[in-house]
Amino acid sequence: MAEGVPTWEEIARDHGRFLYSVAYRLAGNDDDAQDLVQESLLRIRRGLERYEPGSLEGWMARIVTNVFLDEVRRKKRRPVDALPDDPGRVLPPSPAADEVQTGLSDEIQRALGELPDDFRVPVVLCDVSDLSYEQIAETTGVPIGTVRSRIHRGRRMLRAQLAAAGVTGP
Amino acid sequence: MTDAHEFLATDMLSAYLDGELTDTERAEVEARLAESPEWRAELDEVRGARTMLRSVAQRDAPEGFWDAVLAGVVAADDSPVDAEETAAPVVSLDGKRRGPGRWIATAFAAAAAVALAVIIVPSRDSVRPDVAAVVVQHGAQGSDHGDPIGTITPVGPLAGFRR
Repeated sequence: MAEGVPTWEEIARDHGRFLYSVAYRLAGNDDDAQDLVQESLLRIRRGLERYEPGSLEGWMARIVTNVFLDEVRRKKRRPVDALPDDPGRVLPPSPAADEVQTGLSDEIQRALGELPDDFRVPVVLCDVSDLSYEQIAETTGVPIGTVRSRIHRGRRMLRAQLAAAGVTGP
Repeated sequence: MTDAHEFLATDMLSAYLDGELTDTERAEVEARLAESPEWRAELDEVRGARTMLRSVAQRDAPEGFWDAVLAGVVAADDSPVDAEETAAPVVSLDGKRRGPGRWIATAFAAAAAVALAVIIVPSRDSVRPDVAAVVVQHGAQGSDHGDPIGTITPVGPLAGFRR
């Protein structure tokens, strides 16, 4: 393994919260976020040999997004579509232990969940994962001009959803 | 209106906020912003969404998640895997939830099987067949039949990962 490359345990310990946050914003609920993180860590562990030191969190964000997109393509479903099976999933069943459950956070997550995948994914990668448009284009496999357009439209949709919910500012 | 900027797309506004424009594009956007209240309003709109999303706190996993998932990853990688399998999802996000995280459920089931074996089998050597070994070996598989993760064997949590 190249010098300066952390072990996968160190990645989980030092960047697990970031990984979980991206997974949660993509998946829209804790249960699916946990599955995403589990699969992502497995791929991280297996892919460390090929990792070249650089933006570690960018690399992790691309992996968790790829896992998410693989599942979306496979299941052709959106997170909100998975809810009816279990009424208990309408809200996260086990609120995070030490997250301050602000109304704003809940409203934003709800609004994000209403966005179609094509818009939610680039917005999350930009505003949660802090990836560049070029990295987002690479990850999602769409042209950079499309990424730009989807981020903009996604943010407008998000703002409209929040305004409809009575949220007008941070 | 027939000004020089009329063909600019407003989606440049988000790219403007994100620092993703060239110097020329940025100058064009700023010129358009100076003359168009609609563009300024749309800039405020996307800036608000961007600010709110970036200000949301990171999400913490539920208590106990990391210990279980780290043990699960180790156990899953203990089984032989060929190169092609690494590209395929190990877990699936199907609509039917079977509890908090399949690997966690499996890891908990395995741990419970170990505890049960300790409690109900007074002496492994005095019993034939070796009930404790059978329980430990098959406890995880029984919890999630047909799932590739069902082959997980009980592995104790890694020390130092409780967050």
